[in-house]
Amino acid sequence: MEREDVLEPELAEGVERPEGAERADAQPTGPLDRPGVAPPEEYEQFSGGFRQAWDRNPDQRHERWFTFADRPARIRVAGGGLAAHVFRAFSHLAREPGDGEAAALTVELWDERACGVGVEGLEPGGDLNADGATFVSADGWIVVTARTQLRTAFHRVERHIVGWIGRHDHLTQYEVGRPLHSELMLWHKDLDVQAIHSGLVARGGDGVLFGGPGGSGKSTTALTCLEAGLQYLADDYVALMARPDGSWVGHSLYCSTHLEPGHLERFPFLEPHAIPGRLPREDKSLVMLSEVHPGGLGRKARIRAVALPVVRGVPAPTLREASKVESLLRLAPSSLLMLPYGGIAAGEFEKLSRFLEDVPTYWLELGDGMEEIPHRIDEILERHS
Amino acid sequence: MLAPEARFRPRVTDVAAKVIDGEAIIMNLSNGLYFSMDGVGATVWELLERGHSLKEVAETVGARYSVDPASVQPDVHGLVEDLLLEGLVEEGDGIEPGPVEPSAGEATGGYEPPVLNKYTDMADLLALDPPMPGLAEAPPVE
Repeated sequence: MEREDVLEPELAEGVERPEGAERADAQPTGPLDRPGVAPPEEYEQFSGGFRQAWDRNPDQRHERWFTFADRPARIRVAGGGLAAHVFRAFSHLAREPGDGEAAALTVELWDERACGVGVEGLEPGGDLNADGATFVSADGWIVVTARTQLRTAFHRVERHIVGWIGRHDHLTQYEVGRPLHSELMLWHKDLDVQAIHSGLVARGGDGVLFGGPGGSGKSTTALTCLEAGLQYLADDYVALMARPDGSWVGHSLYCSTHLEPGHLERFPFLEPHAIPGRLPREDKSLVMLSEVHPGGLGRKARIRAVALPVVRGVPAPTLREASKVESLLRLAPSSLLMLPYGGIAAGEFEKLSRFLEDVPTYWLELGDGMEEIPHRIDEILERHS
Repeated sequence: MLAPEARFRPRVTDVAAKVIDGEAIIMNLSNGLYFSMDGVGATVWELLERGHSLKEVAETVGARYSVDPASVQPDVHGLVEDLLLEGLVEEGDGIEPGPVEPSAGEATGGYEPPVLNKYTDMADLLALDPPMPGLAEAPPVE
């Protein structure tokens, strides 16, 4: 499709340049930099671009509501293929439109190729292997996340993510499996809900959270439990929320999992649904669990305990109490250091410490007999629910 | 050479730390390195956090472990030099010392020179995907 419209930087008529339009110090420079276009301007550009794409393409309009961390979120997408990608990753969190209830988050995305509306300086295509970049306004409240085929501006005050996608069929595997990952991590943090690197399964609303770095066994544990009939909420990221009554709740974010080939072989029920990577660095396969076992997915659970999977070569999965220090050392580094906003995560360390002091913590030693993992999880739930 | 009267504090912009069950866990959020210290090291960390000078730290540790503060002082200085090298603390002017009630409590074992255990497994990952630069804390929620 030809590009029918090219948006000029001053596209948004009547919108004054917001304060703080100057680029903050220490911004990255590289192919994704847009000289002279600061994050507030990009936000206005993308807002205008979305309006054009939405208004001019009635047949490409798609809108759905989801529940993120107990809050209503409205996602509007101009472009059918893009909408399918975005909605699929959150399908287990779908809800009816709020009855007069304001959205706590509004996401507006459009697909240039489908809608014929572009942005000056941004081209569909390009090197999908290139690294991304982030640009932040001087006041820190508008964050631009830039990838080769995807560029969003998140206005943290307006709770509004708006973004351009060059062509939806060029999104990377992680962009399809975990749409808006950085943006949503930050949105949760702004609402005092902490996205942590962990898995979560539940039975009857009572959950066990799995902590640990990559390769520790979070996915194996969560997927084995899904296969055995427990509810799956996550195997990589969980939104952790403290309740006023002192309890802790984990919210699901995505219904996707990324598995290495050898790992995938352990789960024959997933293999027919695996989407292999296309790019050199996409060495895992993506599985959208909503297509495999939609009834097995949960939205949220009260966290009754933490289990720390660790491969020890034991003859059968074994539980052993873990100290709070062991648990914090296992959970905190990958949870806090890998967050896109690591530099302002100091308060979250304190919160994570409090969480681990409030809930029982176990080592889950893994080896042979993986099919017994769900029994160990049920044992934990029987002790603490 | 550090002055005995010098006071230090965690670098609040980059460092998160917690003492649990007598062990200090310290994370440098800017470079992905994280650390732990138990026993004497955890006590030293808590005393530094509370604004005590190196001399006061050595005296308190000496009293807790029933050893001569003069023999403790080189260990305290060495540890603080390591903490400075790792960017975990900074020297502060006008720090008012707080009460000497570290949660580490009374010493449960004999005196051992403090050791800063360093973990580097997350640092390489963070180098590949650094956090957003220039972020501020959240705007107020309506």
